[in-house]
Amino acid sequence: MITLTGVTKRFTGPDGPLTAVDNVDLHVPRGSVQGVIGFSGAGKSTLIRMINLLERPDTGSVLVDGEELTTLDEESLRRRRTKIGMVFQQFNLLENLTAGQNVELALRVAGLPKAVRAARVAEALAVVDLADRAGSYPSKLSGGQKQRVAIARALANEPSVLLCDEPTSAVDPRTTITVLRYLKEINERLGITIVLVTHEMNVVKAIADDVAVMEDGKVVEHLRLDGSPLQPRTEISRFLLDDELRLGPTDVAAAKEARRAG
Amino acid sequence: MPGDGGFARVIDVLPEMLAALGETGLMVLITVPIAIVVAVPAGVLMWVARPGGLRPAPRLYLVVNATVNLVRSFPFLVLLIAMIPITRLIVGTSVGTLAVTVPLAVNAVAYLSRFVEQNLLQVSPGVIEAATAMGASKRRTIWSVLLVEARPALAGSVTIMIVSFISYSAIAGLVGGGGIGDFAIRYGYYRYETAVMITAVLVMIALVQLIQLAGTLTVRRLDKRL
Ligand SMILES: Nc1ncnc2c1ncn2[C@@H]1O[C@H](COP(=O)(O)OP(=O)(O)OP(=O)(O)O)[C@@H](O)[C@H]1O
Ligand SMILES: [Mg+2]
Repeated sequence: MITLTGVTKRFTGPDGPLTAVDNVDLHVPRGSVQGVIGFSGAGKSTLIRMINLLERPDTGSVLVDGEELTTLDEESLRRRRTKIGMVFQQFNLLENLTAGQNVELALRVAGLPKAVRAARVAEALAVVDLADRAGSYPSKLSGGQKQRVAIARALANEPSVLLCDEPTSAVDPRTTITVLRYLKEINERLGITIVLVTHEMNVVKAIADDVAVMEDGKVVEHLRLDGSPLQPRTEISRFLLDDELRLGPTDVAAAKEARRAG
Repeated sequence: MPGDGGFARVIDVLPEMLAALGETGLMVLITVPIAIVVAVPAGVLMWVARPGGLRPAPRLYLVVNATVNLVRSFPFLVLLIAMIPITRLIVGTSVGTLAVTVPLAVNAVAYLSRFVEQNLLQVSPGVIEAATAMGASKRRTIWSVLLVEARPALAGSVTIMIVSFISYSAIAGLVGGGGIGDFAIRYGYYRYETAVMITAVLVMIALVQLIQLAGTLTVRRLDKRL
């Protein structure tokens, strides 16, 4: 369970101060999948990164499983983070470690004794069907496989929450489906709460229970994905739901049209 | 009579040349470990303390950064002379192979620190972030993530340092440091024994090629990206 209350994050950008996340409230029930969607710069990454305090909110409260994170000292926060998995767009695996060693790193960080680590590594890799690739370096894996190793790494410490920032934005459509299937399975079988950031409506539609639509740092609308027809209220939701790419007339075409008319 | 010995002279001076090679070896053996032991932490310190780093400490960064630049801005010959009082303080004398290792080490530390810092900056910030998200402490992030990912590049930097070192050690000959470079200068420049000098230069070429080969092989073994 995650509860964000009134979280705000400001940055100093190139043209002065900007509010990346503006007074957002978000409640994610235990075991659900929360989608976060919006255009580039809407503040999605900043929002999800505040859940594990990679980004510290200027104001507001961050509750994970009932525990307030913003007031924890460094050591407690560190221990808390071992129970919040995170998956990134660019996978962020260590290139000089094998798939197995990458997963094991998470266990070493959590202080697990060597004796139990091997079994846990095998277990986590088995969840994403990569047990046989434990000895492979990331350079020998496809994009989809790398992301699955990253998911295994995020799961290794049996987290209650899995944060995914555009986990499918660097892989092809078929691999997207594979990755989403694993995430769905993890959510259903292990009961892990998932927050998934994306700019593709089809991605959240495939797995989320609820989608928060973000624009200019604010959550402007929630779309419930319970099977009933979607009724977007905002312009941006309608745009995101429309999967056709409408380019509109180009300048050249417009000029031609004008010439024909005049 | 000096200057017209030809290659037959090479046989005569062979023991001296081997001794010179030994001196170069000694300089490398003393200086390289010192450089690594000091420069790697210094480079890590700069990486950690830099603005936007893992634990920014602007003033500390400024001091280390400026010190590294200061040492690097000295031409080595000037550094060698300027350091004579310090060298005397540390090894008791300012001439000889041992004495020369002091400015050599200081020079090597400055260069290698900068190389290390640059190598560390090449490590993907995403990987560092993943470590933080995992709950890794700063110490863990440095040891188990940063240095692991930078390892091949660091081996490359150490190789470059050792090679440039052989050239610096020749200048060290001016204060009686000895070594193969000094040997080449003595025979070629002061005594016009061209054949001896050429032989010494060939030995240095072989030495550098060998070190570079060893370095390249090490990097290749460490680097798992391909
Ligand atoms: N560390 C930072 N320093 C300054 N500005 C930042 C920083 N991080 C984010 N921003 C700014 O905050 C705004 C929101 O950024 P954010 O990365 O959260 O957007 P996003 O919705 O994830 O976009 P994208 O789809 O491109 O990933 C942007 O204007 C961005 O430039
Ligand atoms: Mg983003």
